[in-house]
Amino acid sequence: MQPELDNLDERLRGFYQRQSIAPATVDRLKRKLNAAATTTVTAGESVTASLSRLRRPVLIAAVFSTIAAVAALVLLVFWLSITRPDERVAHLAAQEVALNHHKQLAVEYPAATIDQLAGAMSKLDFTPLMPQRFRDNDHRVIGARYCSLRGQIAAQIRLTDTSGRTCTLYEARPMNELAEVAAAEFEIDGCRIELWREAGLLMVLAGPAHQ
Amino acid sequence: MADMSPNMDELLQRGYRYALSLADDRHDAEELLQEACLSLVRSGGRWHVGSVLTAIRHRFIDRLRRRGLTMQSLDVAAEMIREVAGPAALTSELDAELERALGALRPEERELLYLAAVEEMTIAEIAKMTDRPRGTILSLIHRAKRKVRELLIAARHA
Repeated sequence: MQPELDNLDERLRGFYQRQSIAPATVDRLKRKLNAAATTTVTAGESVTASLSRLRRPVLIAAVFSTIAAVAALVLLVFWLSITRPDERVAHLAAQEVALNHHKQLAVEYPAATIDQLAGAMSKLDFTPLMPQRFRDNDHRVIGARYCSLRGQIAAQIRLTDTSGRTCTLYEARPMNELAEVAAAEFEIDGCRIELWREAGLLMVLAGPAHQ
Repeated sequence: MADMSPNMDELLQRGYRYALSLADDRHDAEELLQEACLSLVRSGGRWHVGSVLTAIRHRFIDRLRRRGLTMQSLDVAAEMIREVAGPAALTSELDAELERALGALRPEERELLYLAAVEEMTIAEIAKMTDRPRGTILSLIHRAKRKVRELLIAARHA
């Protein structure tokens, strides 16, 4: 018998001790428990009696989570009150684009020109085109992939400039929510996001801030 | 059980490991833990290791019942659980060997090994928690350990 087989209990302890849920999952679970505890309390139980059953760390976490949730709600209401619907959609679209830009997903359709992409990406309900500002040959197409923008099919086109800096251009038909979006500019998560209309398409360009 | 008032994170991690011993699948174990904790919150139950483990056990048995199984029809249950179990990130080849051996056990065998070896519960405590005679528990643990050893030896010679 090998020595480690004689010590099965110890091996089992070691094995299970190495199994753990990710801290993010623990936090998410604690938030759910706090939310459920709050709901249970408001459903009719005595607040004091119910909270006293929870351990102090849970109680503190519940209080902070509630404060954070209320603060977030106040900020959201404030933001909604000071922004127009089209600005909100533009901002949400810009956030989506910033997130996708950071992912740097591989292109599905490598191409050297935008015309090659137009031929390859048959699922698009529009023909992708090179924006006027990039027709100076300073930018080179690397390729593209399908993506969605506010739930609408879009082309995510990767470009590189003469200095080798990469930017991502999104093109979509300005329909539904996007129909309201006009020109706008944002800086989100270190990304400069610019939205504009051109040739009947909505263009969204994502690149490094201060490019 | 020794520690009745661990902090919440530690309590959740212990609950997760116990759920893993029952379900033999990380995703299922997380779900079991979440369902059990939510049921504890909703019922206004007390938070300690015993109540969390018991809640997890009840949820696991509920799941088996929903599939028309019991803790006694465990060979089938083990098969079903293995069907949904995906490959896991393993810390070492030894852990991989042990995980495969544990995966070949029935859920009740894994549970008893876990409670005895990891939670270090006495046979009397396990008997109370699982509602089984002490003799049955001793025999199941003995059989489970023998099975794990045989599987580990077979893995070495494979």
